[in-house]
Amino acid sequence: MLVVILLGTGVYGWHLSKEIENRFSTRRWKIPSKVYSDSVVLYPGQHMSRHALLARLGRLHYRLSDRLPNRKGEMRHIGETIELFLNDLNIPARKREGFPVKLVLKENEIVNITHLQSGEQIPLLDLEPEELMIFFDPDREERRLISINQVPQHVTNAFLAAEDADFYQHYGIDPWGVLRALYVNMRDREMSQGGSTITQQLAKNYFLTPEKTMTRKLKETVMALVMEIMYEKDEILEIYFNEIYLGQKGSVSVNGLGEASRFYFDKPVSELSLAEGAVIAGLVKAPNRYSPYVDKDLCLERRNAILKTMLRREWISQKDYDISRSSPVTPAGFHAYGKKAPYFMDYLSSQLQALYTRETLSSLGLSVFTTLDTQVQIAAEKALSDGLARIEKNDPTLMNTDPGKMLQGAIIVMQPKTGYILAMVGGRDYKTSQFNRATQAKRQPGSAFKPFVFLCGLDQYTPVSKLSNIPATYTVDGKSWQPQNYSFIEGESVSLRTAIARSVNLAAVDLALKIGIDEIIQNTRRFGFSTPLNPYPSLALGASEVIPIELARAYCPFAADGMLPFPLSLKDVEDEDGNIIEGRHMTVESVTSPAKAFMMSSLLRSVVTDGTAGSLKNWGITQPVAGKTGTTNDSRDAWFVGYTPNILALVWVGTDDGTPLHGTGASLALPIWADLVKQIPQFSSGEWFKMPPGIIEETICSESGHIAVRGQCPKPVHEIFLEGQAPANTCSIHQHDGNPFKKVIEEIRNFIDSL
Amino acid sequence: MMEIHSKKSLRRSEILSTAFKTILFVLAGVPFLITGCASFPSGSSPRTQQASKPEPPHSQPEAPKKTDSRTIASLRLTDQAQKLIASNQPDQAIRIIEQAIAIDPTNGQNYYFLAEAWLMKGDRNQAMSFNRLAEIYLETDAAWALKVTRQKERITIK
Repeated sequence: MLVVILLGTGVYGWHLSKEIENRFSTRRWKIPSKVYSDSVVLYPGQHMSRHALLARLGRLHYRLSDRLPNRKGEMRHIGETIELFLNDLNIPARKREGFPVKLVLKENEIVNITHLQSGEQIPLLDLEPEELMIFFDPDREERRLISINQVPQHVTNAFLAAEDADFYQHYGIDPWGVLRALYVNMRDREMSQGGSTITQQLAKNYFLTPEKTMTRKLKETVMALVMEIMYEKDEILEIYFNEIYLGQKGSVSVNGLGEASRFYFDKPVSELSLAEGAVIAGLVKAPNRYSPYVDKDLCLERRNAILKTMLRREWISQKDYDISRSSPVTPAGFHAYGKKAPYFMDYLSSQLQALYTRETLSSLGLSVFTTLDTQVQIAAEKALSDGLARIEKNDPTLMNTDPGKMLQGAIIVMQPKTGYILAMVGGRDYKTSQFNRATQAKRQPGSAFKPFVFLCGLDQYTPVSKLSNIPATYTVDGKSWQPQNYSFIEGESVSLRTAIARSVNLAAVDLALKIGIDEIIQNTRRFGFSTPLNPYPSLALGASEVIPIELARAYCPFAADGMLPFPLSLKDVEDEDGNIIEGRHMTVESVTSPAKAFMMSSLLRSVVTDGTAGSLKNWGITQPVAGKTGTTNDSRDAWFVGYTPNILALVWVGTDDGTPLHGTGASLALPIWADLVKQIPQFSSGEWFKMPPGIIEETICSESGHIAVRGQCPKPVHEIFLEGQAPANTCSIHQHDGNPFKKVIEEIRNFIDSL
Repeated sequence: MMEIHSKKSLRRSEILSTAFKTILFVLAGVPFLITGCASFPSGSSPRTQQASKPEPPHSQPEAPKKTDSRTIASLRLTDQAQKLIASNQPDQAIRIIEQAIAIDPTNGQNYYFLAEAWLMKGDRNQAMSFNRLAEIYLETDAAWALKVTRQKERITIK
């Protein structure tokens, strides 16, 4: 009979060994993929708000300390000095070990960066990217794998003391342990030991369902024995450390010692102290009961009981015991998972899901690196939120709690040369509406479309060309259409520069019809619009709907020497081992010449200096900016797209149902743009574009549009022209009669007048 | 319309100099003036502009003013990228150059090395696009301009 039982157990054990082997040879744990922001480069001389930098370091989980930082992740802030021990950097572009640095800031500028130990000047410093999102599977488990070699002996001993003191002596099951646990528990509640060995707990957690039956208990026991035969003790312990459930972070379960170490003490396992190790070891029994986040007293009691066992077993000295026992339990604090930059994340996820299945994303532990700059994102979210609230305060009739009628907005911030999407806000409140107005809405751009019309006109017309400002009636599809200027514009004609600066509708339509609508459509298509551009004269006034992100991208070539960049949000994807499995770079396509792009920036700068965006300076923007306002019929949409050589941002304000806003792009969208840009001084170089070849400068008579006659033309102006387009003739209005004597006399008179 | 404003301070000094010249001309004698030799060369008379009292200047685009710290930071990254290209790591180089462009979009060397990296990767279209940008930003530097021209030849050779 005994032989039969032994034989049966042996066969069953062999069967289970196959199951164990199979499980261990395939993937052991599902590791959710994580999405990161872009890394940030700091350098001396960089404009940087101290407040924003400290906030960024906080988001990177640097812990404030009142002593000189001597561990990775610590920082000290005294006045204008920030000292921090950098964490390791591990991004596709660069890898480096963490080291201590000192940053000195003065008046929102980084004065210098030095190595805290060597005193060496550091010219460039990368800050690690921020974690933005985790792709959980339905079980919502968070885990950070560790190797047994990373676990300090005192932490391992704490776990053994708590769960299985004789782990290294038994063979998977410990009958004496069961009896001892019963005795200990009854005696003095010193240790609430369970009867199961660590190997049994692992078998239970890892292979078996939680029901309590005799069959299951038997299976657990046999499996523990088999595992002990198949694997070394340290291998079993390593799997256990990575498997064990150790708490709850909101709706996400914290699994494994690696994750728990971060969750409770925000440090790697290798840096856990004895007292901290004992706290985590004490959680195995009932993680949410003994959690320092739930009940500090109970947690302390449990920790001290474990320390006492360790002392009794002589695993720690009396001194270590005394120190650890008297130390308080100070958990690091945590933020429950919330989706940061939610609209950007949705946009990114749609691209990721074209590459990977949901299962892959939630189990393979990929690291996804993006172009998002968290400081720009936060600034954009705040600017939109504050701006919309301000609009409602000024015009309470716009206040509406109905999500479909609520005042909404969208912001896209890009680097025009690289095509990086630095920030995206697709609506006012993601919780109430996930519709991404930045990437999904189709709205009429109004005058914000005009630059594409004027760009087409640059082949035949110059900034001084005259365009008609006379009202006209057009017949479109059998109906008459009579465009009007938004406000009164004097004169029967205006120069092309004035036409765009002051957004003169009559002149824009005049120009469009001179060029030809088909020609405009053909040219503008190259700028990446996916929405139809309808062949009507009203196209010139922005009647064809566009998607905000496509409009933002289409402006980029003006700021990028005529190069249309691919809009990048996803940069690199790394697998668990750090291999780059997907990499995307900036790519560009030439859609207009550098000279025309420069010309457009010059024209659009006049919008800010002399035109509809003139209020920008009142909002505190003093650096050179090119931009265009846009307002659609009945003020249903208000736009402002503005850029410098470093940054381009689009702001849209409107409602989903097209409720009139009673305002313009300049009054509603522009202030939001200004608020945003003021919060990100590191993108304000104050520089203007370099003049490319193919542009010439001339002094022109502002009345005739011809070369100014010195001393004659009352309002000479500097103007730029595409090569070959500068006026050949001198001013005919103020032309001199040619008598050189009279001319000299006039020169002398003018000179005397000027004194 | 853009108003004249550039080189304002320079023009004030030129005015004084021109005034001095005019007085000299007057003193030099009327016959000389009558011949018309005193007419001013086209396109360069600040005195006449001053005389016509143009409206205050405000919108002429300035030439880029280099902020040293940006330039230095960007060039350091460029150096790193150059080394990566030399060690046949074009993808890594591109990642670094993207950072460099973000810091200083007017640093023409970045576009040169981007073109180099894309050429290494076998994408001649991208290489040509960036070569064009390098051409714009490095035109005033003779040595670099020559390198850019040679790069263009390498890109176009099939």
